[in-house]
Amino acid sequence: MNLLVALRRLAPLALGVLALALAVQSAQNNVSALFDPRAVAVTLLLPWLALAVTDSWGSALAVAQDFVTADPALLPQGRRRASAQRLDTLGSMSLAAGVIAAFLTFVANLNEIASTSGQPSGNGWIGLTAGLLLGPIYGLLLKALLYDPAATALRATQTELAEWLEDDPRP
Amino acid sequence: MNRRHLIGRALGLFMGLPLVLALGMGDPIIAPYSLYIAPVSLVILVARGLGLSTLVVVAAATLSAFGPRAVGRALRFACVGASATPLDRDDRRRDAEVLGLAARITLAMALLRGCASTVSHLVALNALIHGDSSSLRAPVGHPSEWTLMPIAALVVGHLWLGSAARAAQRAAGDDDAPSPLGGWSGIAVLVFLLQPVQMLAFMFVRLQ
Repeated sequence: MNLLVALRRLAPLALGVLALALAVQSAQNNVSALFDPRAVAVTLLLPWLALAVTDSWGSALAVAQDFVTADPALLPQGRRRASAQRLDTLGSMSLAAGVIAAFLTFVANLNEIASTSGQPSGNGWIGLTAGLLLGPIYGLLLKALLYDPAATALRATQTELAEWLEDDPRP
Repeated sequence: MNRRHLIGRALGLFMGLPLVLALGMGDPIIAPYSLYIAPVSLVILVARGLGLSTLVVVAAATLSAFGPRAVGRALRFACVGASATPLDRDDRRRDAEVLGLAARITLAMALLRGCASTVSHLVALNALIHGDSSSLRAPVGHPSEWTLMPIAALVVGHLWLGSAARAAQRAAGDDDAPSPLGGWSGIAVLVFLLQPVQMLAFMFVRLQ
């Protein structure tokens, strides 16, 4: 496991989040509108849990290990292909988990509005609608910027990642 | 049969899954409580969200396509995983096909039920606008119940059956095979996203 590789894999995701934050900042100066910890938790945890339940906990751990492997070319071809397929599955499930998170947020916001007295305000309706989009946004970010690139890198037979890193494990 | 594997699977299904779903609701009371009601809540989610009719259609379609033996073996693989039986590539391929078909039909049925629900909402809206209370067929119950169907379809169709079909493909050594869900996962996700907008529009009109 290599911390530098993990950071490198997470860098596109961080940049994607930053780009979205900048877009929101320039539009309405409210970056916190993009953050919903409940949706983040569901979108991050649910795909890994589903993978562990439908496959096995060991395979989920193996994917996490391969995710931060410095040079995928050093892994056996069978394991590399299986991990790439599992990462593809994780990406697809992230999108589904994002939609599930959206529905859960919807219900939670609806209960909050229902528990307040009087007619729901305009802000309440806007909160309901905006909250629906955050789960799918997180799912799409994870799929496009984290799992898909990692799966593609694992599938590739040759990689220059290890050469790029200083601690190249190859002789 | 690998007992540790089964225990891990049961813990994830009956404790982890409801806990994560409760976490999504952001309720610090429901989240720990779901640990105790977990099996019940999962049954409620599947039974009320998907409905018996969807389960019957899925069962009928897979049984008519593959027969009871293949469906039973695939269901066993989906429930207990690869540790249940010795590895046989042809059997695992067949399992992947059965589970993929079941996942696609589950999603398709949920989409069809979503479309039917949209039609019913539009009819109710029309009656509401024209003040015709006699033909009003408004959806009853709390709106949170409307969200059960897409959540159940995604959990059962996509996360469980679809993922188990992929696992069966891997067990058969078909790592480069195309996804058994095909384009259905993307279609389902997109259409399900439209449903809350429809719910909101309906609630807004009713309140006005």
